[in-house]
Amino acid sequence: MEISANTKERQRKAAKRREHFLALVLISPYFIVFLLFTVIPFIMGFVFSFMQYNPYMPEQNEFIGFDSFARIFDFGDPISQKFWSSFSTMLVFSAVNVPLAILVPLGLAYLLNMHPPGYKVFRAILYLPCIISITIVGIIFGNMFAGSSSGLINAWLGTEIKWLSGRPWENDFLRWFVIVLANVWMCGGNFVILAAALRSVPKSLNEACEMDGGGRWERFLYVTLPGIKPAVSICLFNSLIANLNLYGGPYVLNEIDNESLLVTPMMFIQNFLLGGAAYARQTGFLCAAAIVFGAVVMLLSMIERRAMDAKKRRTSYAEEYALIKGENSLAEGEKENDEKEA
Amino acid sequence: MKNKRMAVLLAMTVTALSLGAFAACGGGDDGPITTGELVKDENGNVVFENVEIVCNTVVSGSDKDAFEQIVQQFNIEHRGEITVHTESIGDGTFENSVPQKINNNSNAPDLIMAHQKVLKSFANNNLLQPFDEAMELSGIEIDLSNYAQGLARYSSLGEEGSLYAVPVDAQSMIVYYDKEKLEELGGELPQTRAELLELCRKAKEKYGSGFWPIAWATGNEYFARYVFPTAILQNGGELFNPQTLYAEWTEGENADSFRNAISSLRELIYDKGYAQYGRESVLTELLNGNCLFYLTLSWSNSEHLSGYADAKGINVSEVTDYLGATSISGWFATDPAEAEANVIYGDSHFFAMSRTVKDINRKAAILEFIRYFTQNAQIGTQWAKAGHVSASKIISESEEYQSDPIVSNYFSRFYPDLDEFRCMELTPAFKEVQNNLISLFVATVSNPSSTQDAIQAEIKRSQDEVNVMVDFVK
Repeated sequence: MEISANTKERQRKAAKRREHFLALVLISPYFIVFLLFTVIPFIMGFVFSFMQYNPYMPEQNEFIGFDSFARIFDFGDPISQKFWSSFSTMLVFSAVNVPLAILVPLGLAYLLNMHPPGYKVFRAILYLPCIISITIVGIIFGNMFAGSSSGLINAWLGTEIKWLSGRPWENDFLRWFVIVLANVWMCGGNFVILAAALRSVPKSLNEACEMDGGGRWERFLYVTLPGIKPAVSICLFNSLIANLNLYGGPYVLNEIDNESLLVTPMMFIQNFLLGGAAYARQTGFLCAAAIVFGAVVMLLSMIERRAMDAKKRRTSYAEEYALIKGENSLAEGEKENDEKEA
Repeated sequence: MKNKRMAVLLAMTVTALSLGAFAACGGGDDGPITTGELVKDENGNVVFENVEIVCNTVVSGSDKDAFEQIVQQFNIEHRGEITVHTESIGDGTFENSVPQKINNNSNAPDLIMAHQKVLKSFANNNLLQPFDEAMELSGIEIDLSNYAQGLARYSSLGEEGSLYAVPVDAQSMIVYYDKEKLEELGGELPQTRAELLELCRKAKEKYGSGFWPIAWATGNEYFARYVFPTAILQNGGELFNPQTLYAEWTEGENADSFRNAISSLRELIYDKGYAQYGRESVLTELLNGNCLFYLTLSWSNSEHLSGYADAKGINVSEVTDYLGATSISGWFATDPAEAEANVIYGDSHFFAMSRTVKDINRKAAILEFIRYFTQNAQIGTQWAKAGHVSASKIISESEEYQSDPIVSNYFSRFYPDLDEFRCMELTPAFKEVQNNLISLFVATVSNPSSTQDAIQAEIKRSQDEVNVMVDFVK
């Protein structure tokens, strides 16, 4: 029996509807959570940023237009200065930590890729810190670097160095060092991505490069690195976002005697929003600060993506090799033709 | 077309949910009102029938068990009349979560037991209601003249003539001393700073360089929270101007007070070498007999006594033969004639009523519970043993309280006069004042070679930090 074209069309549409419905059902748990805890709070925060808003005194709430944003960009305002100074903390930290978060795991992945004895155990050990929560990391590093002789490092060294009580950029940078160390220690995620990418670089390219006289360094620079560029790009993006949103590390490692000294934008906003009823009147201003912070993070992320895309467009060794090979075969072909003509 | 319909549907859903969320953010209610009627017996006492109240308390440490025991005892004694349910919320989240619960009227407490310093910002945001109307209607009286005046003066939370908060207790740094060593040094406890310095000199001379006349852990955050402000107040200083709320740490006599307070601490640590800076625990000094005075926190009293007894292999009841108690009263006053020389600074728990309570029976039940907690000698004694000296004169002057060995041997000596006890004056910016005092303490006392100019610059920097934040929260 022949099925008419209309019936076929109806069946096709019904199948598509079922497919759409299934897709909706499958994404709905995430979508509902995303809606309730991301989209709606974002919309509310956006609206509050244009208001003098106090959640406890609704009768005092009023729209004030761009006043909060104007205040944020009034660099003479002491609170704005604090906000922007938290940016410098974040940027300096990112400038130091993001390259380390790529280079250290890359170096380790490169070494492990040579498959030294027990490399599987090392791989597991290197990934392990990644699954530990930041609170535990804080406790581990807090105890290791405790200022008194009870701290593991001080006990080993026989010193009483105030690792976590120093004032960054004023007397010492020891606490920065500890936080950076903790962050680098937790780079297991990047390590796994980069190790997988290194394994996927074709051996033939390395051999070709070697035949062309390329040493270990040239092979790494012209074969390995272009080959793992997409993975580096992902790691860079993730690390940048994580470092721009820096909160956990300083929060768990800041000590009471200098808790106000290492403040990132996330901490600046969070400290006030969770600071209790005393700051309730400033909710609108803090929402505006969060919007500005979000915009800056977005901008920096876009710049990073653009930069990596531009790099991606550059010719890799593989492409160059193919090109050279192509040129050579062309030249050989021309030579053959010339010989024939002769 | 279909995609468009989906997008419109999605936008409508988000808008509806957002509007709902905005509506929910509009605050709970119009403020305190009173509903219901009280039933009274022939003597005019309120008759309670199965009234339930929820109390949120900031007590969450080792003293939590004692608090819950007292509440349980109250519930047993008032079975069928009043039941109190408690929820402990840590200091770190109390200021944030309790206002939200009250504001949303969701799982909101009826009664709050919080530190005095947080209540001003609660009151400023209309989260509390005064007790006056409930007292008048129920006849259950809370007379502030029955409470330590050093604490009762915060009860109006700035609204003169109203009773918003009832003081419960006080806590600060306390001092134990080694009785045997004090005997060897003459047996006299110091009453002034000069006497303290002289006693420490003798102790250092007698017991040598490994001995610390004063063992204190400046690395414990409560040291900077309690001892540094005590030193400032004992030198006649003011933590901020109560009228303007601004810190005036570099102005006039207040500047001298701050400098003297810092010098008094530095002198003990660096100039004389009677105490150390930077230690996080000094318990070993006490247990090894390497100190004369040992400073610690009052709510750990029972742990300290039992720990000491275990270490020495004696019964807890025998500890009084070895460990005496005294206070930091007068320790930092460079001028003993200073009016505030004997002041001790610390925290105090207060009871306050949430604005969400409407039923007069519930309000009266809250008053009944407060009266029980703050006017019952047995309860006051029990609470003192948990580390909190009673703010109620009815309790502190009672026979039962005064004759208790823990209270008489320790707590009455830790805080010789509660009228000389101070908390932070009322300000919504208490956190800024407190944090900057801690930061000032670290900046000026941590460095042995700090010059007077550097100290002055730090005082100015911290003062300016406070004032910037005062403008922010005012």
